[in-house]
Amino acid sequence: MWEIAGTKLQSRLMIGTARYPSPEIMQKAIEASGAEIVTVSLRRQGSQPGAQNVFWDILRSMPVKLLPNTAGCHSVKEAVATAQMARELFGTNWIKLEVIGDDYNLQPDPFGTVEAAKILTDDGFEVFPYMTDDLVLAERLLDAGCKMLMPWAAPIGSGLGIINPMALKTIRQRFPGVPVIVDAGLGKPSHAALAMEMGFDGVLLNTAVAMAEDPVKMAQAFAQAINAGRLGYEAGLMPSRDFATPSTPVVGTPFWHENR
Amino acid sequence: MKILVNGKPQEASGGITIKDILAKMGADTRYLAVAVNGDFVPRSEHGKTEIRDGDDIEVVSPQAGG
Repeated sequence: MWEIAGTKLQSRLMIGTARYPSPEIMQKAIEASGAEIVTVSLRRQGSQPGAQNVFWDILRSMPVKLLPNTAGCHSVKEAVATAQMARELFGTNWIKLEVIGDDYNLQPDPFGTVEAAKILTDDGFEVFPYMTDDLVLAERLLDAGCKMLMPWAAPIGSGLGIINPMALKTIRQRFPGVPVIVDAGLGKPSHAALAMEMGFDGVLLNTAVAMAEDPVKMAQAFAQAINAGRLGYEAGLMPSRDFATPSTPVVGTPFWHENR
Repeated sequence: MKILVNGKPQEASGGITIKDILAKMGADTRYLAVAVNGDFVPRSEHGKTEIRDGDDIEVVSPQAGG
């Protein structure tokens, strides 16, 4: 068990609900993942006639906690208004705060994210801030009232895995008591296992599962990788070395001669 | 008067409220949220908030997201 935003959880995998081949496959993939937190969004009414009703009916029937996002927002004002609409619509004060600063790589705007985080935490939100892997930004977000951090591994949907392990490692080391979720850019189960071996509290995924040939199987693969990585972290990884150390005892090696 | 609803220009008569606009859309209002000119308007205010000429109204519903 672990805890985030006052909620005790078994699973360290949070999963998105977008880009699946169908709502039914989304449901099966979420179930297979074991995730207890799923991300959702808001879009203009009527932008996908009929589709959102099926999607929403399925989600409401599932025993999961919803984490709405402010995806697509490019300004503090848009993000704040979207968060407020999400709070009313989904009945939760949780918000995955996204303030996009660059359309090409969907890199979050650090300045806008901090400003919006301050407004939202003052307004009673539990802000899950989507952020780059910058140490000072992490400090500013915590100063703004965030109680957790969500640095990216790589740009959203890129599948590149952790592109800057040193930056993420620094955030982990500097904020040992703060829940840190690696969000965005993971492509393979091994990427998620690595994040967990590094001591992160959880992983948030969407595209890597939804766009797999078999999303349900991939959801299972990620769930197992995350468990394996976390167990490895808790077990204590051996220090790596630049030289070999024999695992088989040397003493008593047959045919050994001192002068060889 | 002219207003925008989800980015589309519409003609509206004076004195209408957000509640009237949502009713015209015919959707389940329990699963809609509204902002006017970029500011969130809580559900409790929908019946009291009159729309003015030039207002830009966003009506959103739950969608998939990552």
